[in-house]
Amino acid sequence: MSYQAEISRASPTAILMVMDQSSSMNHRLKSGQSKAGFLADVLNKTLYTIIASCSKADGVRDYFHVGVVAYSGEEARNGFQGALSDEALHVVSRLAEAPLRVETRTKKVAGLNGEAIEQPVRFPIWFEPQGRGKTAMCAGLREATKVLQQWCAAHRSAFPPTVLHVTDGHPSDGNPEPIADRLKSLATDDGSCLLFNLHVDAGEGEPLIFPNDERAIPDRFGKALFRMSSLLPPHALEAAARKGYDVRPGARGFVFNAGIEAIADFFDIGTRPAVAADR
Amino acid sequence: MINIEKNAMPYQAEISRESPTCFLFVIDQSGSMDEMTEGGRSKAAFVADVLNKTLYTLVTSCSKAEGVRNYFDVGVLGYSGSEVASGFGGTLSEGVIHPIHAISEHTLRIEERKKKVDDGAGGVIELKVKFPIWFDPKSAGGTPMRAALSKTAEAVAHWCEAHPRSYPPTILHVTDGQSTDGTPEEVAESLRQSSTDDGAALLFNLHVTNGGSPEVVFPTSENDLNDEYSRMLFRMSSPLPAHLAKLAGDKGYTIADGSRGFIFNGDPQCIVDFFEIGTRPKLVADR
Repeated sequence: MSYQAEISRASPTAILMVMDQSSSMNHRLKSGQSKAGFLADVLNKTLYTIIASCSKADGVRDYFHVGVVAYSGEEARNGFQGALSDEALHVVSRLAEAPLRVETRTKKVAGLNGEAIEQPVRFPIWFEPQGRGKTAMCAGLREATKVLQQWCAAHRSAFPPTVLHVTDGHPSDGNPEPIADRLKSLATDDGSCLLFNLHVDAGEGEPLIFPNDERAIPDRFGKALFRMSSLLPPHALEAAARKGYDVRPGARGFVFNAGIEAIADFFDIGTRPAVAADR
Repeated sequence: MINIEKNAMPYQAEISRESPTCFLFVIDQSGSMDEMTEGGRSKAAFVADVLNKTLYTLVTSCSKAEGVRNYFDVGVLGYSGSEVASGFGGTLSEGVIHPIHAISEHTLRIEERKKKVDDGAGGVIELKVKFPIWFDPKSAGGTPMRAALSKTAEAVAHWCEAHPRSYPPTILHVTDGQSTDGTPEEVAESLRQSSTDDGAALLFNLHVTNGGSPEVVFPTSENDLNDEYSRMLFRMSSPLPAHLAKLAGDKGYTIADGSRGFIFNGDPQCIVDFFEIGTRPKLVADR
């Protein structure tokens, strides 16, 4: 049985986001803001949530190693800037100490009658939205593979790494499928690397969430992303079912034509590997 | 000279309270409209939602501090069985075309719908929103398309006569079936011949069919279409005027010279876009 390893400070797991920052990410979602802007918000919130889940009375426990790879133009690069740009993966406690800045955001919450109530919240920023140039997806996935190969070699008994890859377009630098295969073949004793793919669209029309058959996907490149995606492991199946998704046997970690809700759920479900053991 | 200039550039008239334009929605309510879409709702219910949303958008685009300005005259005709009737209820069911101000005041009811929105901090929350209903879905009986378009042509002709300088009327016709009361082609042609000084009435057709065939959006030739019936709907459709062609292009559709306001087998998003593109006249003057 794979994906059973306990996650602990002695045996952390890795979560790597791979973000498309090509120019089409400046296009708007139905909800009005740019794809890049909303995705950056969700990613920053996800990082904050990971830190919060590791925060105990004695401080932030390093259950996770977290990194962001960004790609656009012809190249891939570290998605973190500033102090965190020196390494690909960081322990959670370092992440917690080094946001680029903390913004005050006006957050909407639903009131008793379903009305919007606005409240100011502190919102740490680690990752900035950006969109320019072409879609160097192969470069992005190659960089992720390089980072995780080293990580897997150094953490043989750990819960294997999870990669969340977010894109809205077609790769401009070749066929990413063999690279994705290579990434998914990286493994620890507890199983292979998990690659989940999120295809973001304008957010209109129905998304396809965790499909189990590529024939359901209307677009050639969408089918390729489906094939590049890992089967959902038990912990993700459970999390998806809890959110009310009808996940069938063979469901993959893939969302096609995602709007805001599917984007937020993808990040939430994708970053919940087995509950840490020594909590 | 002035006249030539004017004819060379139709669909340029400014839309104002003195010179409103007209939107007429003609909706097939025949029995086959109860078939399910991918989203698990009937075509009729989906089209009704999009139409109600469109009406609401038209109302809000006319809403100013002092009230709703009459930039638009709007009508809805539904057809099914042997009947063509106003798709509005209550006082609006008399007559076909009403000023947008009257429409804003006479909803059938206001529903409360749930809507997921960005919470501004990387999350999504569910809110309740008011959703005004003017038009209820219905699906029964045959498809008297010819009668429906005749009635439309009549209303459009009257309107053009009364508004010679206005941006011409736009008719959005939604159907999923074949006419059961004869061919509507000549009727459509006479409809498109109604005109104001600013150009001929625009007839756009949306053919919602059942899966299977690939969608064809704003085609330039009937050769792109497989069945005789959609070819006819293509011929019945007006070419997209320049500003609407641009809008469609901005939404990511492939537009060429001669693209017509016709969609075959559009997915739900296409249907939404069809309504949005079709109800966007060029200029509103006195905002």
